[in-house]
Amino acid sequence: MPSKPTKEAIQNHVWQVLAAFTNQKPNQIKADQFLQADLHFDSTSLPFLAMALRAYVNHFSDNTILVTEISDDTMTVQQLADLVVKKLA
Amino acid sequence: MRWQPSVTALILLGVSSTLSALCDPVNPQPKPTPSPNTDVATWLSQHKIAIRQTFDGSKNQDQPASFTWIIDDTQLRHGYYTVDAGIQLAAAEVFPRTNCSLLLKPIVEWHRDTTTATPTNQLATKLTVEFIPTQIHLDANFVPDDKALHAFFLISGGPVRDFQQHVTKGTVSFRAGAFSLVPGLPGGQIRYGGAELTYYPYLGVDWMNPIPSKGGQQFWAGVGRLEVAAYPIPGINALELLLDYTYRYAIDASSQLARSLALFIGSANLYFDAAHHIAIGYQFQTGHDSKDDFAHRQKSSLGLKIRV
Repeated sequence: MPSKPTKEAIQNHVWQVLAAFTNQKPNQIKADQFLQADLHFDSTSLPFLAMALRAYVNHFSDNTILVTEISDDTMTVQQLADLVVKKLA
Repeated sequence: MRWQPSVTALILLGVSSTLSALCDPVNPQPKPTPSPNTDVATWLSQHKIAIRQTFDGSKNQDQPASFTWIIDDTQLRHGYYTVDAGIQLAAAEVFPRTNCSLLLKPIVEWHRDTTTATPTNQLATKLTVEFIPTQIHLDANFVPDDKALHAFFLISGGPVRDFQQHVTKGTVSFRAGAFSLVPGLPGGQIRYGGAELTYYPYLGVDWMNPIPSKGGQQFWAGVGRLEVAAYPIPGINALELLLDYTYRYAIDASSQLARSLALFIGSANLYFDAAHHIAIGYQFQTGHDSKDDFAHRQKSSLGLKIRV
């Protein structure tokens, strides 16, 4: 299994993934934005997001990302990045 | 054929079992433990409980539940109200370690409308199955790099008690939708000058039995649906516009019910909080709604909306 990325690399990755989903540049994504209320992830796009992050996490560890873990409507971009960091800790 | 509870359960169980063979498993992992929180919305979210307008599997389940109170000035003693609320209990993720997604969502919904001569009062218990068989393509760095359309499937079914018609209906609906990251395609966020728009088309089939307006017979219909969500003011997420058009074509003919049944719903929600939990919302609806036993109605309402 490849060596795990640094916390900064994980955070950058999350920003890149969110930018790809929302058709924005990574620097347009703010840490305190809500996934649902601000970036407008919905019940269809959230499972696709979870699967994209799951593939990343699975590459480096035995952990996974659940759709239900990121479906919390109060989840922010930073909280999502923290979750991925935690999964790869 | 009268509806039997086992019919819906068997259909949903069969679909779930069939789909289990399609997903590639990966490694196991312990279940996450949510941290305690006293905030009601967060507590509900952490316990995977959601409150929305309806849980029909479509984008509609991102809309807030609505509670409207209407006072008729000519008859002040009479208050009218409408409720469109659904509670989704803990969703179950059947294949949490695969490259596909299968979610099972048990749901309870209440739809009440006392504003018309024939009020609506329905309590539904349903199980919704949401299945996405493919993940988007990722580049070598696991960043999405995908121009394709991805299909997803929604199946929802369960008994609906109509307290007004004194009948319990069985319902099953199937929808196939498409998702893409490409702006302009279904699901792809279109951004223009800070404004944003997303749409989802669906094709599917509805089955209900019995339908009182059809002489107590069962009802089969092919369904086409288009949902559009727009945030028209750049930088202001608080204003949300939603358009929902559903066209049903009754497969089995009946002299009591038209073959073509269209329904249009337009909504505008103005949220008061950043996480979009509470809003004041206006809704205009015209056409044939299954909740109204497919009678043609046109109505508009202004009320409180809650989304958790």
